[in-house]
Amino acid sequence: MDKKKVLIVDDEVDIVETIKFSLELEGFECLEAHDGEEALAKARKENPDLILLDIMLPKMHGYKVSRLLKFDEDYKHIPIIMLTAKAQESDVKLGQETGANEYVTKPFDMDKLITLVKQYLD
Amino acid sequence: MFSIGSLIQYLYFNPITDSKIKVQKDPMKDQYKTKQALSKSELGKAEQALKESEKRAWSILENIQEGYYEVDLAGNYTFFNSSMSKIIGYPAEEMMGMNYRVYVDEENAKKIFLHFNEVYRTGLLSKVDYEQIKKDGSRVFVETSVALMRDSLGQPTGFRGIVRDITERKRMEEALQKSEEYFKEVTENSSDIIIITERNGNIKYCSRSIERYTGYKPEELIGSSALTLIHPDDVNRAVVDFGRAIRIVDSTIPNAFRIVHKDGSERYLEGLGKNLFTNPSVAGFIMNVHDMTDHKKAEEQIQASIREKELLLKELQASKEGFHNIVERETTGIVVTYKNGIIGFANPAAKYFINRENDELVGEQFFIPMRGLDSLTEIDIVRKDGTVGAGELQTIETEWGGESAYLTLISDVTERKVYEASLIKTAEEHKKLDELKSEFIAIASHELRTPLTSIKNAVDIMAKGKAGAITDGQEKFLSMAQRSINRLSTLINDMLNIAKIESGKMRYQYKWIDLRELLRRASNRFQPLADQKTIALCMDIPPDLPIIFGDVDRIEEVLINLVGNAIKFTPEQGTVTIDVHQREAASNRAENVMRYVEMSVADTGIGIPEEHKERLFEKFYQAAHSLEKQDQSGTGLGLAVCKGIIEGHKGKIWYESIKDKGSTFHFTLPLIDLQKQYYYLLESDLLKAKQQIEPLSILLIEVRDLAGLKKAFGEKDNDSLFERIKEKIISGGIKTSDKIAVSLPDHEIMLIMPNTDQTGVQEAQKRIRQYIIGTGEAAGKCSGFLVASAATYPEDGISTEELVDFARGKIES
Repeated sequence: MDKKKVLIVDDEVDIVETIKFSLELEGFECLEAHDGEEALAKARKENPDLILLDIMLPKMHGYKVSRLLKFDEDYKHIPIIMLTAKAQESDVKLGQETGANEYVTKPFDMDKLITLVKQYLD
Repeated sequence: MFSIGSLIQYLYFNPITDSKIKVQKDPMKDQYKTKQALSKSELGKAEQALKESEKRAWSILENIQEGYYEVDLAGNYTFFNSSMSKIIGYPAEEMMGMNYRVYVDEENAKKIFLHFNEVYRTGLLSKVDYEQIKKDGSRVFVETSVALMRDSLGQPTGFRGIVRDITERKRMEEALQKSEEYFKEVTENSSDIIIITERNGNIKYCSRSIERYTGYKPEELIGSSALTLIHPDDVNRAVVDFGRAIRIVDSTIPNAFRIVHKDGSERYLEGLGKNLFTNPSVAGFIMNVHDMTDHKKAEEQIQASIREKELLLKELQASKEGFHNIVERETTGIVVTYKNGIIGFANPAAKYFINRENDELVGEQFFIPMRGLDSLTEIDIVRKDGTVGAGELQTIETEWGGESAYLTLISDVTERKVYEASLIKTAEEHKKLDELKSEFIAIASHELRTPLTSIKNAVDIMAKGKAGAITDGQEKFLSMAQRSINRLSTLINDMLNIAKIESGKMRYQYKWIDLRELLRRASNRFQPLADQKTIALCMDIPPDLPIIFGDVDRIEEVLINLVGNAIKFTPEQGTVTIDVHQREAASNRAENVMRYVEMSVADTGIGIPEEHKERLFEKFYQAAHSLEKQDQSGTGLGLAVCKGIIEGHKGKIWYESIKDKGSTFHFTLPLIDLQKQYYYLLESDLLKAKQQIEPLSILLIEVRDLAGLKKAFGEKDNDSLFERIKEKIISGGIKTSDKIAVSLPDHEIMLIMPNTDQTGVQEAQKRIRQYIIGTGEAAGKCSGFLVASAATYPEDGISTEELVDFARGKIES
């Protein structure tokens, strides 16, 4: 059985690294992107099974990446879990409106994140 | 020579019973007979003497002016002299045998008949006057003496008498009478009063007109002293004047005095008095006075009106001066322009404002183009100190010298502008600072959280041995790092909250909160910790708790904070009790009872020393630090955040503590009237709008036809219908700062839109309408289901109530 592909998008390399480490331990294949444009390009090219998407990204905002994918018939099926350090209500609302499936506030509990990812991929 | 008088006397009083006066031409038969008989029986000498006497008598008769007549009993002339025929106006030949009726009218004939008849009956001599008509038609008044003639047997044979023409006398009498009447008329009816007094001042005559001025009838006054009428204040003067006047004959003195009317009122009389004591027809002091009261009053009125006019003139002068001051000295520039644009007037202020202080502007074309009446135009002006300032120009229509013109007022608004600018600047700075703070918070939270996330992830991976087996020593230190990471995470959250509370940016997501559910969650959360410390976690919750309106996450945060603290500061074997009660507090108005829910968290801990009481809810104030140095788990922000949240919900928070016995923290949350929830929601946003000088709009959507809308949307219950509408509103494109509140009982949804003006809210209204009820056919079908109305701060209202009422009012109308 093919490994499920998770695209991890964060400009903070350390965060990508720790998530990647944890997910790979769980048997997922991980792809990385460090800005919005790269995220969009990788998502379209690799067609991942799930995307962990930071909001505050260089080049292109996480919201925009999410919206572009969610409004694209070819990619709207990909679950998106938004990660953000912002914890304002309006952010939550915006995250939901851009079509993201989940919303996780930093700092998050890695175990909870893994559980969430597994919910979408199992 | 006979005097006429004596002859008449003779004739009157010595009736000739058988006189033989010969008529000139055609004597009567009987008389001839008598004469014949007499002459036959008498002798020649006697006859001669008689003839002489007759002759003499005749000559007398012929020479007197008075007429002599004899008539028979029927009134026919039998004898008369020539004067008689002259008086009667008929020739002698016609008169003989003529009846008196020929020359009198019926009325006089009757008079004569009655009179002669009277004489006939009584035989007494009498006189009568009557009017007769001459042959030529002229009329004369005559006076006739009438005596009865008898024959020798004593039988009446006729009448005789003397007739006098009294026409002249009659005329004079009539004239006199007329003149008397006229005089009487004049004295009685003239407005003047004539008073004649005796020497002692007693009134002997006064004209009827006196009643009009004094109220007394002449008969009431005659005999009493004239002085009694005079006003007491004028009596002395009147006495002196009168005393002087009566001593000098024919002296005339002017009088001017007041009298007292019978009704007590005062009247002012003026006139002349004349001493006529020596004039027998008057024999008194005559006063001719007239009433000057009205004249006097009129004079006084004139005086008063003159004084008034003088006063007015003075006032006018003063106001003119005031106006002059304004126009000439004050800081408002005044320019009057005729309709053709030519200046008719410009005051000094206007001149220096446009830097033309020394020029005459009248006659020039106006220097500033008109920008429409009544609108304010801003212009640059030159101020007195030579600097350029801000001026405000306003033009209104006026009249100048009777011509319609424009009045332009130029005000120096430099200071106001500066102040306004500084206000705006302050507000902007405040806003900027606020934005900076928010930005800082956002950055700080992001920038702190991001590395913290890496650290946490890394430490967690290691602590769980996922990155390779760890030793016991390593595990101890890693868990130490984990605790600090959690504390730092909490600290960052609390700081963010405090910053938001303080800047008024805390946004509460008001919802209906089920307290039982909230408490169950808190209990579940803390039960493991309590068990660990062998602390009993008790709850006393009544079964009929009301639902409250608030931000469930925030209230939960408060509860977690308080319960967490309670467990933290309670030693093992202790108890932490959570109580919830509904309470009422009487407000100053009986009908305005405040209902609220009070929650208490009590512990059996060490208590809080009195000295901390004042500052316990301050940020970074940690009583715990001084109490338990070893426990570093608090952030010093928890209670400050709790206070901010509770107060943000219009509740109160406080505590009681007894050292070594324990502490109890209480907080209240008001039970909000369903109708009033909007106000709570709106209030914080409105406050912010006011602080930031921003508009704020609300859009109130009322569902009119619930059943119709449910059917159209395919929803079964109200909750889901309103959720659906909410979704539609959100998808209609609202801003992230907008808030939606639903009041199910009212079938209302309110959208609060900060920083949205009237245009903005109108567009939103249109858009939302399309999203909810669609367009075209569908819209037509659902158009009556919903009504919406907007209100905008500050135009439509400046308080929450005003805004909601305004929007509701529009919906209802």
